[in-house]
Amino acid sequence: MLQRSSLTALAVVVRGVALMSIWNRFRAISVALVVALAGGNVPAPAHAITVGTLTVTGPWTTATPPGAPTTGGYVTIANTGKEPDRLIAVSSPLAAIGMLHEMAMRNGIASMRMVRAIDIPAGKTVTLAPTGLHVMFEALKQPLKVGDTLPVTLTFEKAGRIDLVLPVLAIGARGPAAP
Amino acid sequence: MNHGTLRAVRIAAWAAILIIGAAVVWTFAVPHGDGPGELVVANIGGPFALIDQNGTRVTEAALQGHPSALFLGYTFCPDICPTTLADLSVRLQELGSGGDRLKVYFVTIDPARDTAEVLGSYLRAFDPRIVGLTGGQAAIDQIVKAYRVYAQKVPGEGGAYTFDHTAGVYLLDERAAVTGTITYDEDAKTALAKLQRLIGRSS
Repeated sequence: MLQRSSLTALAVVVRGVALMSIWNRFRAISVALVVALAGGNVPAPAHAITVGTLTVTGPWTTATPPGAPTTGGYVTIANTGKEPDRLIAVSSPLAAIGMLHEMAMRNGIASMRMVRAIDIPAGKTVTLAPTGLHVMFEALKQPLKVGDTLPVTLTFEKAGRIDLVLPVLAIGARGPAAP
Repeated sequence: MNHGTLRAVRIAAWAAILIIGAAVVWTFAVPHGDGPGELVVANIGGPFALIDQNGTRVTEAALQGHPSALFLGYTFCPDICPTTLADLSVRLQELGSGGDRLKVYFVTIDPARDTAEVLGSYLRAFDPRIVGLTGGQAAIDQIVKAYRVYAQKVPGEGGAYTFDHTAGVYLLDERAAVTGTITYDEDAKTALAKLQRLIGRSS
């Protein structure tokens, strides 16, 4: 009787350790994933990237004519959370300057303005596009050619850093082809 | 009233409704040439003296005898200018040999940075028939004013600057008269049709 109960107890402990190790393993993997994504050391693939409540899709940029040192960066950012977030900075190792911009077209006149941040409201999707809010790279260190990729880090107030690569499309492209 | 009279009244009433409806549509829905966002077409142009990307002198006389498309921009322009030039390059290809009569000019509004050499290098990304024009600041000011283009320098970070500027392409006939425009968001088919009409009218 005693023996049987101690065997049962042992079994419970063994099962517990096994469960704990699974839990620990799960936790370790989760932490590693979170660190990898938040720390931004892993270049993200071109498809959807999710960090916290933000999901980033459809990144692209355009090739630059010879000598032209600027290009825009475009991406769609969905916030599935209940808290708003804000894109507060952008950078690329291939550009000396990364800025947040808004292009507006009024009465046939195009105007470009720097903005401090781009709001990503809770439950909303914000698409960065040439005629509208977007990120801008100046003083590119090399011309961008079709088929190249532009590595970019977006920094959000809450979600932190998101690393992604923008496929370089042709000059004059209006965006990636619909999937 | 007999049946025939009723029928006549009914037809007359419908005719009246149609006429009034057409008048309303014509008044409010059909553009009459100077709606918002369209460039004013009358009395645009004038003398200028610039150089092309090879350093050759080009004046308003060069616009005579063939249709032209004229676009003012700058090479540091991140989006509007390369997109417009890329679109024009595609249109030139679509026009085929018909496009050879059309001369496309890209006039810089930023002569401080856009020298002939810079324009020459920049334009290698586009159709080789596109001619770049630059000059001294006074010469650029003159053509900007003549073509009533808005070009306002906007300071950025660390000495960088951009321009708020008119987007859109002027279409000029063989007498250098502005006969229309292609706006930035113009549908590609419409833009091609406008160029074909311009070339056809000028031949």
